[in-house]
Amino acid sequence: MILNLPFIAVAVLLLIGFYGLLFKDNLIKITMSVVIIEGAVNLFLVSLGYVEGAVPPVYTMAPFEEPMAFAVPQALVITAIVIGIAVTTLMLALSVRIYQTYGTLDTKEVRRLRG
Amino acid sequence: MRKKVGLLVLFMFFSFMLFGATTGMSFGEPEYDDMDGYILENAQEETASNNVVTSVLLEYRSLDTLGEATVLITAILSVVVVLRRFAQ
Amino acid sequence: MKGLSRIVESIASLVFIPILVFGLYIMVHGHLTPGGGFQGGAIVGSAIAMIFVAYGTIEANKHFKLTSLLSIMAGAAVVYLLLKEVFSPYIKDVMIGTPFMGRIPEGINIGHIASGTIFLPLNVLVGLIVLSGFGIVVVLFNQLGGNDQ
Repeated sequence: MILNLPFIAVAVLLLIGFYGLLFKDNLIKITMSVVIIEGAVNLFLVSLGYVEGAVPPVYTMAPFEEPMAFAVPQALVITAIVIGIAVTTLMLALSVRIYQTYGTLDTKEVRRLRG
Repeated sequence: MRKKVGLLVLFMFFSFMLFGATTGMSFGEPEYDDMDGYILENAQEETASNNVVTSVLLEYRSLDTLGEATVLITAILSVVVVLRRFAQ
Repeated sequence: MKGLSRIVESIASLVFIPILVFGLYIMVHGHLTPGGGFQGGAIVGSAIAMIFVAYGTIEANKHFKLTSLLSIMAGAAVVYLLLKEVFSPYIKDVMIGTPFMGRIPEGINIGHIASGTIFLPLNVLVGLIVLSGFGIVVVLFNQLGGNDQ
C-alpha cells in the first residue's frame, strides 16, 4: 500500500481543495482552493503513465536498456497547466472588480443586486 | 445543521477516493497500451525529432495545441475587457 | 508601484539579456531536449515581470505597450494556424527524408540540430503567444494601484 503514494496524495489534495471551496467565505481562499484542485488533477494524470524504473521519453543521450515512460499523458498535462493559469488570472481579475464595486470580499455580503 | 451534513458528505467522498486509490490500480505497472507503444516505436522516423513529447504535441495532436492557444487568447482578452480604465 | 533601489535596477538590467537568450535556447531546441514552446514562453514571461518589479510601474510602462503585445499575440496565432492547417501537406511531407531537415539516425544518438521538419518555427510561435500573454497580464495588474511615489 505504501507504493501507491501518488494516488493517496491526490486523494488528500482533493479533500483539502474541496473543503476550502465549500466552507470558506473569502474570495481569495476560494481561488486558492481551485488552484489546489487543478494541481491534484494534473498529478493524477502524470502518475498514470509511469513504468517501473523508467527514463523520460527523449532519445537524446538516453541510458541503454531501460524502459521509457509513456509520452501522451505528459503532453496533455502541459496543455492543462497553461489552461489552469488562464482560469486563475480571470478569477483574480473578477475578484478585483468585485472589490471595487462592493467594497468587501465576503461572499455573504455580495449576494444582493445593487442598482 | 447544514455544515454537519456537508462535513459528512465530504468525509464519505474522501473515504471513497481513498478506497479507490489503494485498491484500484498499482502504481508503476500499466498495461500495454496500443497507442503509446506505437508512438514510442515510430515517432523517430515519422517526425525526425528526438523528443517524443514535443512530436506528440505538434504532430499527432496538433489540434489540441491550437485549441489551447484559443483558450489562452480568449482568457487574456476577457482580462483586458474586465480591467479597463475609462478615465484619462 | 515604486521601484526598488539603484543596485537592484542595475543588476536587473544586466541579467535581462541572458534570461532572454536562455528562454530562446529552450524554445529553439524543442525537438532535442525536454522543453519546447510553452516552457520557453514561461521563462521570458517571468523576465518581463522582473523588469516591472525592479523599475516601478511608470518607468517600465514606457517600454512595454499594450497594443504591441496584443498585436504580437494575434499575429503569432494567425501564422501558427496558417502554417499548421493550410500549408502543412506541402511543406512537411516534402521535407521528410531529404537531408535538409528531415533525417535522424535511429535509436539513441547525440542529437543534431538540423532535424525535426517544421518544429522550429512552430515552437517559436507558440512561445511568442505565451510570452505576450504573460506580459499583458503583468501590465494590466500594475496599472491598478494608486500613486505612492
